[in-house]
Amino acid sequence: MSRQDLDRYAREEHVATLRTMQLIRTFEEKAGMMYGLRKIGGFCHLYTGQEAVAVGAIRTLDLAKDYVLTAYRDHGHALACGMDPRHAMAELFGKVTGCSRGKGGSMHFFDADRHFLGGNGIVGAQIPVAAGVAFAQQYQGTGGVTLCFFGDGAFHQGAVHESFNLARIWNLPVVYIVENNQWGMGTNWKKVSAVDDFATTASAYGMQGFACDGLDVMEVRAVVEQAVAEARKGNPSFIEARTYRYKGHSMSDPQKYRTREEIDAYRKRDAIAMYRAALTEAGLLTDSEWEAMTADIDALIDQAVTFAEESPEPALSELYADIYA
Amino acid sequence: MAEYLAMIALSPTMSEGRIARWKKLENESFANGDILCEVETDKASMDYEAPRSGVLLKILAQAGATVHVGDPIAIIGKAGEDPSALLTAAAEKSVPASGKATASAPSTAARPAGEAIASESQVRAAPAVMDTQTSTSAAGPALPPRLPPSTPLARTVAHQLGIDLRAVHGSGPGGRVTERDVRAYAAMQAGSGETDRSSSAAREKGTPSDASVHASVEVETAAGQPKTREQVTIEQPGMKRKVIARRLSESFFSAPHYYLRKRVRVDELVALRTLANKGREPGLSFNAFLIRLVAEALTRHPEINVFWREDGLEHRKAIDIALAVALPDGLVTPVIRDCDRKTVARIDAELAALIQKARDGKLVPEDYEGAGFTISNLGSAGIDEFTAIINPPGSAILAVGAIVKEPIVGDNDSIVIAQTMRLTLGCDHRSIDGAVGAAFLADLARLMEHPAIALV
Amino acid sequence: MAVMTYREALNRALDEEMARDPAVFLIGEEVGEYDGAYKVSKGLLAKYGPTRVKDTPISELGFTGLGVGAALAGLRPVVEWMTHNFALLSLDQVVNNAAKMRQMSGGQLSVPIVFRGPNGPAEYLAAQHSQSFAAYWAHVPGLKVIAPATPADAYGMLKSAIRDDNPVVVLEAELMYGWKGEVPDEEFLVPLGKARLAREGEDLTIITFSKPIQVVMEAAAYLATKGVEAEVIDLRSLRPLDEDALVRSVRKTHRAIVVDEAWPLASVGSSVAQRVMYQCFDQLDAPVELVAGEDVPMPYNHGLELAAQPSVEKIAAAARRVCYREDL
Repeated sequence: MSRQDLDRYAREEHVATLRTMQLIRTFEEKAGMMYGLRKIGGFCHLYTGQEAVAVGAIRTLDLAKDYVLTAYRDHGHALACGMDPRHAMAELFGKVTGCSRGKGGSMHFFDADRHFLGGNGIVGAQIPVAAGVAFAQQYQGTGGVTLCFFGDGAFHQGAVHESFNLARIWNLPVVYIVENNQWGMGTNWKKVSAVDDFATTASAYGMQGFACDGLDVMEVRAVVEQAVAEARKGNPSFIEARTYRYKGHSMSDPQKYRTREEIDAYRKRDAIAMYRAALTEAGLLTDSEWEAMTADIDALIDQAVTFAEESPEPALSELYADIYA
Repeated sequence: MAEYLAMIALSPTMSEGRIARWKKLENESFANGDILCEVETDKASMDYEAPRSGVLLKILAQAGATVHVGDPIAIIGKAGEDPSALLTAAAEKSVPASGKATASAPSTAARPAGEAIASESQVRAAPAVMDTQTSTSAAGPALPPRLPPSTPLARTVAHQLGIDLRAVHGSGPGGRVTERDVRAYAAMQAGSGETDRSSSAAREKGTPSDASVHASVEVETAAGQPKTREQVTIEQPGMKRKVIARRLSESFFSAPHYYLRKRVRVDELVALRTLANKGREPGLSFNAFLIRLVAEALTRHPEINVFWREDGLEHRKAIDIALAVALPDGLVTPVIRDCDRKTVARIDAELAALIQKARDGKLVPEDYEGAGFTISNLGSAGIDEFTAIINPPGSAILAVGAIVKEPIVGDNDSIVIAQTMRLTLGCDHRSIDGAVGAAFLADLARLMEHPAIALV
Repeated sequence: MAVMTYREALNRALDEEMARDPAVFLIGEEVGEYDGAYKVSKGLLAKYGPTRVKDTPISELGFTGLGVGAALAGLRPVVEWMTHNFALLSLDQVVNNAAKMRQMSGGQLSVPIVFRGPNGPAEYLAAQHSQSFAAYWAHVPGLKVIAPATPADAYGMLKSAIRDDNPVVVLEAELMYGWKGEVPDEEFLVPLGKARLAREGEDLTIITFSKPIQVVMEAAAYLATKGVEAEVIDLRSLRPLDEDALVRSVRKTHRAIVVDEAWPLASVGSSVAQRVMYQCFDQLDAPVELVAGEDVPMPYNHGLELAAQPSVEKIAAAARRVCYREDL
């Protein structure tokens, strides 16, 4: 992370970026605890380790006109879009105050006001939908772009091929980002991919392909900025962000497929730690500011848990609500 | 070990019983011999005594339910035992346990047994289908014991018209009774051309239906109930009524009855009774005298005192005579045993006691079963003469009319006013031939006209 | 009042709705240059241009999902599937996305989209191109499913579907496109969720939807010659299902035959039969009959494929049983 990269943004932007990454980290760690306390059930996929991708990418957007879609590991993206952590935690608790009124749960966070369109539980199912959102932006001439995240597992779905093709032939303002955290559930990405470099496949669709270090938030941001600018001109693109998740695929994953050493090695390149160090070194953040920031975030997340705990369950009469218009 | 508590036969002829009330609550413990519940049988309310000590884990047949002998009515066991395995099993073979027992509303299940007694009305309010099934086994032998296959609409219409589906010939596949069959039967019963009102009949001929025919049918069925006639209310017979129906039908349709009539002059008998009752309060009943004289006649005609049984003729040694007694909820026939060896006064006392017991619903089978001869006296109702249906397994019944004064031809062709009554002897021709019956009746008449002969 | 074909009625509805609302666009294989594989979209490309009439690659999953996304973002897509046979490739997008987005988002999102195309057996098309998937869609809460069987309903219901804020699946039929019928000249809407009384009768209710309405009406005419007046109910909306109409009729006639060209197990027909049995049990004078497609993949041979579908003879045989009339 070079001084040159850092200088492209104001100090306040850096602080806000770091703060969002730390907010996600803290939220996820608390969610993991709450899961252990059985406050949260079902599938719960934590984003810990990958924060730089969502935050670096989404901070390039203008969510007044741009949209974000992702898969089921969606807490980080929702928070990066500005979702209130209280509504996020309440959703995990299945409470009616949750972002999806307790109907969606961990995999189905939505925030229509902030243009965050989920939260999709079927691997790759959001990929054609994102093309459609971009289609509408083009049709309506809003000037907006759509950012679509998916995992390395989803890359092998036919939906990718169909959507890349549609995006290109119609010049849709869409940017696809594969967050290659290297493990599609328990399967290593190299074992199931014909290529070692996902980004190269973009050329098969006449699109520009980008690769970036998904642990370096500045690099992610730089690449996405470029891709988004192209998309606004009608050039869809595809970015691979190489990253790593610290936790299992979901909370119920025993993680027999990878070694402790591998996880520890990545923890040494922790996205938040690296970014904080760079900011500190550049004189943009003091230790006491960091302490204050984390204390503030911890309090915020505690409040989110309290809010979730104290919120009411959905009434049984909600069962048939929101099925039809 | 939790186990089923089965309905047992509380009288020799009982094939099913109705739970009148539970005396123990679920989870209440009981000792061997405690009364668990009261069961309404053929003619009486019987106590069901606990066969061992334990805990009433689960009531399977609620008050009001009719249960076949052998089918479970409850699950008993030790305190704290889980009856769920047996419950599941009971649900699986629920035809006896709940199929019959459904007559009681489900809502009574959770209530203490003592409160669940409102079941009489619940039984009556139960759906027609269930009613018919419930009464199937107890009703008359002239009809098939089981409900024939029938369509829901046929059942609905039969219920509305008060028709027993078992009487209806089913024209559908496998004998299925259809609406058309029910209406055809109803029309036949009514003896009118009412079938013309059914569009089905018109259709049967393959002719296009008349619009007006349709209109009338629609009025009748559109709202699911007829608008053109009074709603028929079907009252569900109680256990006792059903047994009466079954036994008398059995008797009437299987025993070839014949009747012998005789007018008897009872001036002497009336005088004897007046004499005997002098200073006696209350006086001896006429029926007691009657029973005593019939006993005397039977000793002289033992061929009348017989049971017609499936396996042959049983000649009765004891002279046990039943007297038909009308109660508000049906007929009972308490039996006086060994009437040939009892005085009129003794007979009268026993009779009074039995009638009181009958009124209290406390008759036990020994009180009303096994009479070789039955007397039915409708004299007090002002009836001159009538025929009665034999009370099986006995072979004869005496129907007694009122004592009236009438002119008769007396000695030397003089016309005199006499007190007379008319006797009608009903006999089962399978066991008693006409001449045998006639000889008995002639002798009985002689004894009644001149009761002093009985002393000889 | 003009007589027009079912195809023309659909075309008129699309044309009017596209003219009325600029958010409406048509997307699918061959909808533009080719004027539609079955000519339903004839002339629309010329009239509305390539932005609103989108020819797609053969990517059912892709363009169906794209439609869902466009609907989420405020458009009103009409997605044409060349046939429902190919829509299976997009099943996930319809079932998991279109139908559920509103509920999963706690009511935040809306997916006003129409999926339409021919469904059901046609002729000489063999197993993969001749089959009814009505039950696949009707099974899913969150979808509306309609099957207009007359040109007037095709017009009025498609217009309602386009204006509906829910995802609506439209079941058309290749062999119905040429059917003619009167369609009023003035604009009108047919509400979704209401059955159509296709024929009044007192003796028997025949319930069907989509193309089998034709054999049902023929069977009803035949039965009339035998003195049996069948009431025919065209469901036309499978979800929501107009149970009231069924109940009203069967309580009058006391007997019902359900005709569905799909396979019998877990079909719309079997489901409707169950509802009738449940709602009208005490009024039924015979078991509810289901005349379904035979439980086989559609054969190519014409004799065999006709034998695999509901026919007048099969309906008459069912009528024989429910009416207890050997002479039918």
